[in-house]
Amino acid sequence: MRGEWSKLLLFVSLVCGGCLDPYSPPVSETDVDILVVDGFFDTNGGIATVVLSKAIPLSSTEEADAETDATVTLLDDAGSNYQLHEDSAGHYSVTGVPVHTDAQYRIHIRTQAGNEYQSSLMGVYPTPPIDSVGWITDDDELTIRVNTHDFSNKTKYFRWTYEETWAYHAAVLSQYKVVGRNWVDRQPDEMIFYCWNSQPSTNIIIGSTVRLSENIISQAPLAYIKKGSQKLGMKYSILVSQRGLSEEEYTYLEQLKKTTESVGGLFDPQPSQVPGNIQRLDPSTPLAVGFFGVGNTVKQRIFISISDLPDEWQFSVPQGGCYPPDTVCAAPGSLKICTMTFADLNEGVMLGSAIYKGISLVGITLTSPSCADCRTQGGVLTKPDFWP
Amino acid sequence: MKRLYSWTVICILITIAALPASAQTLRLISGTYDSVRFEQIVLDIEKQTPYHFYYDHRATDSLRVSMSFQNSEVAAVLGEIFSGTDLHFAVDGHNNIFVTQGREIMAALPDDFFNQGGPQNRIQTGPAFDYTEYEKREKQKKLAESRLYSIGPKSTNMVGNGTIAGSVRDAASGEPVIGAAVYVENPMVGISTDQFGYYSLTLPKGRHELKIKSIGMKSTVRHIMVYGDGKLEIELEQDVTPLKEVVIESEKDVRVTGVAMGLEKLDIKTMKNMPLALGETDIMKVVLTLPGVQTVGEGTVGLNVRGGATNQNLILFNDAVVYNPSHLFGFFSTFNPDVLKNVELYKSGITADYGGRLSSVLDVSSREGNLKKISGSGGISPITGRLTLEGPIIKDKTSFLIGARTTYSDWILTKLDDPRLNDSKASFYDVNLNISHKFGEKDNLYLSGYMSRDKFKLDQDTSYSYSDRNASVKWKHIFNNRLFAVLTGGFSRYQYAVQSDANPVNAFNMNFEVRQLNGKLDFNYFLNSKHTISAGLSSVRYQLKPGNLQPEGPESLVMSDVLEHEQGQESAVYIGDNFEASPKLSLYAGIRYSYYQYLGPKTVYTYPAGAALDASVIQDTLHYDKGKNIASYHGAEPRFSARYSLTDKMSVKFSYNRMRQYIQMLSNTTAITPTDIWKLSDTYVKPQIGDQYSLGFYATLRKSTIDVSVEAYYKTMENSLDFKNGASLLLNHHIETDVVNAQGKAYGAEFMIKKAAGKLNGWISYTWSRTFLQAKSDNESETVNEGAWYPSSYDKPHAVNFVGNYKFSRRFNFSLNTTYSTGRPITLPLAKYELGGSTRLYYSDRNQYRIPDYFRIDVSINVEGNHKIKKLAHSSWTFAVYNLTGRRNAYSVFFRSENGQVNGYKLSVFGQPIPTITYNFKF
Repeated sequence: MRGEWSKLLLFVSLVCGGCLDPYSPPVSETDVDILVVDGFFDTNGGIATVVLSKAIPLSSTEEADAETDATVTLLDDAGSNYQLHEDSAGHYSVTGVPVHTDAQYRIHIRTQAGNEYQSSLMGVYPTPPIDSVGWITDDDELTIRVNTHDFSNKTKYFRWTYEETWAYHAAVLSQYKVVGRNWVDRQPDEMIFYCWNSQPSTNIIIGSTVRLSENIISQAPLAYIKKGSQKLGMKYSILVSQRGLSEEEYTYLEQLKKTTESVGGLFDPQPSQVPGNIQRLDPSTPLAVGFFGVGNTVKQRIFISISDLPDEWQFSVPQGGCYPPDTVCAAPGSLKICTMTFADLNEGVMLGSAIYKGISLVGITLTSPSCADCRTQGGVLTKPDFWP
Repeated sequence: MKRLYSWTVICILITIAALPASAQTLRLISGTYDSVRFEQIVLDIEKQTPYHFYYDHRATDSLRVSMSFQNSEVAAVLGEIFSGTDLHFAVDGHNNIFVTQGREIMAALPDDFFNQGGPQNRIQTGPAFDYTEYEKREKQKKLAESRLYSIGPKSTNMVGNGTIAGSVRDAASGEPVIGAAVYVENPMVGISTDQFGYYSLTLPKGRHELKIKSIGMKSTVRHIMVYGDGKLEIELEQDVTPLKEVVIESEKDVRVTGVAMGLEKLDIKTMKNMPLALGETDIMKVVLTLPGVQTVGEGTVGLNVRGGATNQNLILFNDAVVYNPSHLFGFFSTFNPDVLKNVELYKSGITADYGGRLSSVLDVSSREGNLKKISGSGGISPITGRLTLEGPIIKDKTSFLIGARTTYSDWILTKLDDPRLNDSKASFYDVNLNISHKFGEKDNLYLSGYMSRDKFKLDQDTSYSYSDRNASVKWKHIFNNRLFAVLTGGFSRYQYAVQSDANPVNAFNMNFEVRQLNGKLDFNYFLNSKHTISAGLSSVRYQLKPGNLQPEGPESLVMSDVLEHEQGQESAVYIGDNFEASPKLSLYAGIRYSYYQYLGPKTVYTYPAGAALDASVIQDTLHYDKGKNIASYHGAEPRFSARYSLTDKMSVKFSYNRMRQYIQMLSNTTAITPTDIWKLSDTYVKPQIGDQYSLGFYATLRKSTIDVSVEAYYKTMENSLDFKNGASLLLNHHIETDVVNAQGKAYGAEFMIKKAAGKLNGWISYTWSRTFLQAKSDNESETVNEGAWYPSSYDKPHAVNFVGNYKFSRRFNFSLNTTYSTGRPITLPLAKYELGGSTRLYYSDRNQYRIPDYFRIDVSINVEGNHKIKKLAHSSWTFAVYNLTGRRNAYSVFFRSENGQVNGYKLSVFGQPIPTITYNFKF
């Protein structure tokens, strides 16, 4: 409910002539030494994964460093322990750990520098299946929503993540390519018109039913897509992952969300440190933030085709500056305006489609990679396995 | 005009050896005239009769007479000539005829003029004495000022003292004048009238010149001969052109000579001359220009007085406690400017009759309504409209005042382009009703009621509403000149609701309510010229409904969740003595003893001793029955003030006071929000205790037109609540686990130069102040910033205010208001890290950084209508620009991770100049 206040504030400032300006803080701490732990033990298959990294100064533009060569161990309350292996820099995992639903688990970390950390003991919170993933549209936005329930009341706290995938195409179809100084037909596997792009969720999406009389999550909003987005140009898919949480993990995520996604308004709670459940064993060693959770994930995927959308949503992707195309003439003067002729072709030229006069080919449209190559917009040409 | 008037007065004086009015004999004249000048007729009449004319040629030169008469009486002829003009005539016993313009005069004194009774009788004007109202008043005032009033039964024993008491009232409306200074200069004995306009002074027997001064009223004097105890009612006239002396004239004596320190009095007239943000005079914003008063942000109403939290101010409206003084997200205060009379802010030196809050008392009084005639006022600004009506129910006995205010912002929102705003709603209204009644000389009854409601809804989602209601009844009884008592009963209720029906399954309705019922009895006893004793007792019953969540609609799955109600009783007795030890030294000493009980029915959780309070370690659940004492606290609250006059223009003052507060607001937001919750002291939440020491130096310079003051203070606060990191305060069944006990300290110095009179007036102030909190515990979760002192969210070390008024003429007044302060502390992110594919922030210790400094200039021009005293309605226009320089003052800065990136934003609310036009009227 507090979050409403920040909305309100923006609203008020809109009415009263206020404004939102970018702000960079005067603080430039360069000496940051904080271990960041992102750990999860998936009871479905007994897979433990721990990602270790370091925090970086706010002003830094570099990627966060991975914490490599640490010794990470999964322990259960019965005394068994399982060593995790570093698969890639900072990513540690172990599979095939036997799971007991009434057991509790923790991780122990010993960094390369010899600092030791340990998580709290966490119980197993089984996740109920997703009932359905649906979507609705209003005037200018499409909302993906999820429904679930757990009448066994094993958990009342939920977290969702998702991965969106969508098909799209370039503005201009390139039928030909240049090899050496000659133009040739593109083969089916050389087409660069259709692409698929995907994007994971970045915000923390959590829900709880503790205030409800029945353990039902109804129409919880997950993702929003603006009308006119490329995502809805052809076909869109979303894979929703759901996980049941302990109250402790829910509280941690809620605070993390509060302090990093919506803070600073006068009516928002004041931000604060959110340490998580990783404790340092010696108070003189650097701090650690992050969480180690235990549970399992259930998934559901849906597709939305352009034809499923309301009529006024069915439009083509904006063509931003790709028309009208220039032309490459077969010979000088074969068309009224020639940017170049076939004789001038080189491999840096992006060709579009053929221009005929009667039955004779007089030229080929000339375009640019940003118009004809869908990969320039971030996607890949390979159709994902799950795509129908 | 003026000359003619004085001239006729001289004539009256010449003819003061009056002959009987019947001495006028019949004198007849004849003549025929065709548009001749009046002078011609005068010559003819003077020729035909013994009459002699006195008149002003300028008054009659446009008069042409066309008529004929035969043996007509002069009086009849003149009557006919003057009919339809504004000329009048009068004839005296010496055959003199006086022609006057605009008013009639009496050429002879009334029959009983020299046979008047004792001094208690007013001069009776004869029936023919038809001055205009204005002259009548002037006359009466002159008479009152030149007369010698005898106080008490005449006697020859002139040893000892006599007490003179009475009330000071507005001559036009009959309303009491609050805070008027009533004093004699030799010996220096004075008092300001109380909230009823009542004063009582003990003076040595003998002759005195009693001076009366008040803001916006004409100063006056009364010559008195004190024989013993007696009454003297004083009427003051409104200064017709109040702009001339806008600021606080009475203060110029009181500020240096009064014992009170840290007290700021503001009159509504002063406030109305200040530039406005949204087209309406807002007392809370005016109070913010005073030294030592801060706010956390623009457009919020909460006050931070001398480093105190926003909930530590006792805000009284006609003696009823106001829990939320704001409308429309805090852009308006709940006080309708048209019904207000004055505001008193006690920053230190709080007397023993006030209690219950730690840092200040803001005592707001409304007017009582005109006792003499029906009148009204109102105004229209871009956002609000208001109307006030007042008048007598029984003339000179009972008056009423009703004021209402509302917004048309809902309508404005529908007119805006943005569809999101069209669906939004934001509105408020408030209504004030006051009735006062005089039962006789000794008893007065005052009823006051207030009701407000705010409602807003954003973008079709959740709607908020809140309402404040309060009422008070006051009965004042005067036992005798030295003793009076006031019995007050009050009721306050603050309520809010949050509603959401966007998704029928999750639709809910959440309510919060705090109400209090209070009664008090105060006595004021003027023991002698040296001692004034006040004493009383009071009791407050608190009832809290800390949260009630209910499903809305049949489909809703929301589980009802009702937090147990809380009850508390706070009782207190107090006694205080104002002691004039010597002309140089005056003292106030008082003590208040308060006793508080937290009462059942209630369930209380117990926690293991020594451990951090946490829901996971609840040991036991105790049930208390209705009325059962769960926890009680009590303690003495000493209050002391002293003033020592170095010279008659300079003084030093010292004060100490201790306050106890048994109800506090819990908030983990920086500003007051309507959804903040109030919490009574209980087993775990201890009452707040505050001590303040202050020292001040005061001087008046340049014939008392410039006041200079320096005040320094040191303050400590125990049991201030701060919240744990990430606390959740709403619908929390064990709120004690989410708060930490903090102690606070604050200190600072306030410098102020004030020019009260003259064409240019106003004040400039500089405040240096710091305020810190410390939360220290053996348990890490109950510690903030490792137990170190940290600045509180409203710690603003430097603040400069300038308020200036320049009066170009009686109709044009220019005001300028400048504010500068250090930015408030915030918690900033120090580092970022990747977690779950998104960038997150690691924050600094609490409140270690500051937002950019705040600076703003406002200007306004008041244009009064013409100054004819008699006309249908008096109107004025105010043109104002708020934030003239358009500086984008940071309201807050915040960081968000958006699409995996961390972005910093600075939000300013009034990021550009805001011009407003307001039309005000009075009838």
